[in-house]
Amino acid sequence: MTRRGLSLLQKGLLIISIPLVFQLALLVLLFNQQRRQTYAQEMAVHTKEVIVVVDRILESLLVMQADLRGEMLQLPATIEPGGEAEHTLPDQLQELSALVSDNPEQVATSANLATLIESRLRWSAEIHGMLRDGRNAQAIAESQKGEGASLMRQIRDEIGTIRVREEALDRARLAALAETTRRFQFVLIAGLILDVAMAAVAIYLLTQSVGRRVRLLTENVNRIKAGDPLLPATSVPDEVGELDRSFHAMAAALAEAQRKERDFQRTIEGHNAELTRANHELKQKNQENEMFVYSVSHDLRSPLVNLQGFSNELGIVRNALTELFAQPLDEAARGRGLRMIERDISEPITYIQNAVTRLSSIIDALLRLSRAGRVEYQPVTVDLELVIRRIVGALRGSIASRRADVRVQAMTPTWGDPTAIEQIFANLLVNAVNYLDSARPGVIDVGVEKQDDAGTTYFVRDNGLGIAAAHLPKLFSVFQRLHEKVAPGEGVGLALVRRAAERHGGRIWAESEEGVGTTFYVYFPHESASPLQAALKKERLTATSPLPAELVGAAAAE
Amino acid sequence: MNPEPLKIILAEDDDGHAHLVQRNLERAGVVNSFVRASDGQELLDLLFAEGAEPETDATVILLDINMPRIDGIEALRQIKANPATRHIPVIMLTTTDDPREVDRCYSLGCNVYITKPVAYEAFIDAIRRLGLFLEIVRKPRSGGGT
Repeated sequence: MTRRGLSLLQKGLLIISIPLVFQLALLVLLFNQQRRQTYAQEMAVHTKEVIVVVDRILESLLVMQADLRGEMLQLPATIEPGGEAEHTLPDQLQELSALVSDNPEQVATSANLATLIESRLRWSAEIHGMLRDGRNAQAIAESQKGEGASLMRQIRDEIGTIRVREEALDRARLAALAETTRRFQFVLIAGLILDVAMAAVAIYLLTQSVGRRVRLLTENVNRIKAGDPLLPATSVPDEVGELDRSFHAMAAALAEAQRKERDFQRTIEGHNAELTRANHELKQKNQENEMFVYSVSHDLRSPLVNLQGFSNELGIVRNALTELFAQPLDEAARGRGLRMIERDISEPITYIQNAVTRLSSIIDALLRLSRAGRVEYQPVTVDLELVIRRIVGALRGSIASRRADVRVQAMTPTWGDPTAIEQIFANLLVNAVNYLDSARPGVIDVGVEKQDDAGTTYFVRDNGLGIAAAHLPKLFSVFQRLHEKVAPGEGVGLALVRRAAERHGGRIWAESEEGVGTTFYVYFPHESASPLQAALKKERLTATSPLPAELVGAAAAE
Repeated sequence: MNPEPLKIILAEDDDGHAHLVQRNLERAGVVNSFVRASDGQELLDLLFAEGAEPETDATVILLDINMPRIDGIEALRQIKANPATRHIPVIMLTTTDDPREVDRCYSLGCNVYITKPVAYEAFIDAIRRLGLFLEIVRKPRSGGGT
């Protein structure tokens, strides 16, 4: 608000006031002109008055002269000779001097005139005196000297001068008045035209700028409606400008709100995607768990079948023996009984014992698997070359007995739990040694496959029996034994390895060709990318989770 | 009347299971010949070996599902895919009764599905009835004589 300069009202007033000032100036000029005209008229009257006065003076003098002549001719006087003029002339002269008092030239001339008239009056009074005394001839002679006539001529000249001067003044004044009137008319017309033009221009400019900005506003409102970017705000600080700025502020607020909404939407979408992913993972995990339970129940039931079947067998043998011992034993029956004990009892017992051992080892394996998911990792930088050499050293016996060659390349160190990492490589190396093909000399290579910014991929390659393509997908599942007869085991080794690698944020996979060999790849992320960093705390928490869930989650790897 | 004893080929990786099946069949007297294969591969080798005699009408295959190398399902598929062995009745044996697996076995053409641990009386009975059935269907081909 405080930034606002001229408001629309102020602009309007300004537009009205500019011609008003102009008109006021014209009015002043008009008054001035009127005053001049009045003055000119007054002066014209003044001139006339002067002329009238001098005419009257002349007339009085002429009357006086005529009376004097008449007296000389001894004509009866109509009036007291010279009396009238003698009395009126001084007044008339006074009137004249008052009238011309503003003009020094006229003042001088009229003073001169007054002197002349006084002389003439004096001369006239002299003649008059002669006549009255009866010295007519002297009077006539005196008058014929021409002094009176000369005075009269001078008076006439002076009067003429005054008259001409007054008339000239009058003409000059009239001419000046006409000039100013003409100029004034010009100024008036020009002023009016200019006034109208200025008002028109001001109104045009105002409406133009207001109209343009109102159109801009309309355009901006449409843009808001359409969601387009607004035209730049005008800097004019009036109401329209303010409205425009308000629109911009509103549009900005609207855009901000929309942006927030979009962000919100994106966040929600992100969460949704995360949920979907989590859901998918859970579904997969659930399926894996089902598979795991299926697999475990199968493996647990297999020894149970033996336990049931062979205990049943033992029952049958017991019945047979009971029947045998119901009669007195002869030599043949004794022999039969001993054979039964020897064969039909020892054999089931062996199977039952095996089944019990098998059950026990399965349960042990499950516990190991559970522990693999729970054990707290202590991640450090692990010198893998040292680890591999230690494993190879421990396997020296079996490697030698299979006459295998283990070749360890330069290993870059990795970051993780040393025990878990040793367990992973030990499992892979033991498998490689165990499943070598006895038909050819065994060669096992260990090394770095690939190293990039994210992590390192190691490999353990053998030229052993290999794995059929159909079995590769099940390779890391629990209780999958592909070469059951070749080496003993419960089928949890690779499941454990996979579990450990995944807990390191890594991955394990295999490529194999049956009869040619197998390559296992293990990928570990670098320290900076390892989930163990962040997961350390969390794992301390999960370590207290109930066993079954942990066990299922840990082992249902495929 | 007891049917003619059958020739049984058992594919089973668990020695104990194989032992139990053999014992019970022998005790019941429904078998005169018993052959054991320790996995699917061995069974197929046995059936499709070079110069192997075609199996007689009195042969029945007992097939465990969970076996290393070639499992029971794959072995069943190959047996039913081969004209030479397609006619042999197959009884599937398994430790679980997962319906998906049961369906899969039947869709591949197995004749009977028996879940372990077997109540051997019922098992033997099934084998016996199968033998009887085989004898009945065999009769027209043997010219109607007994």
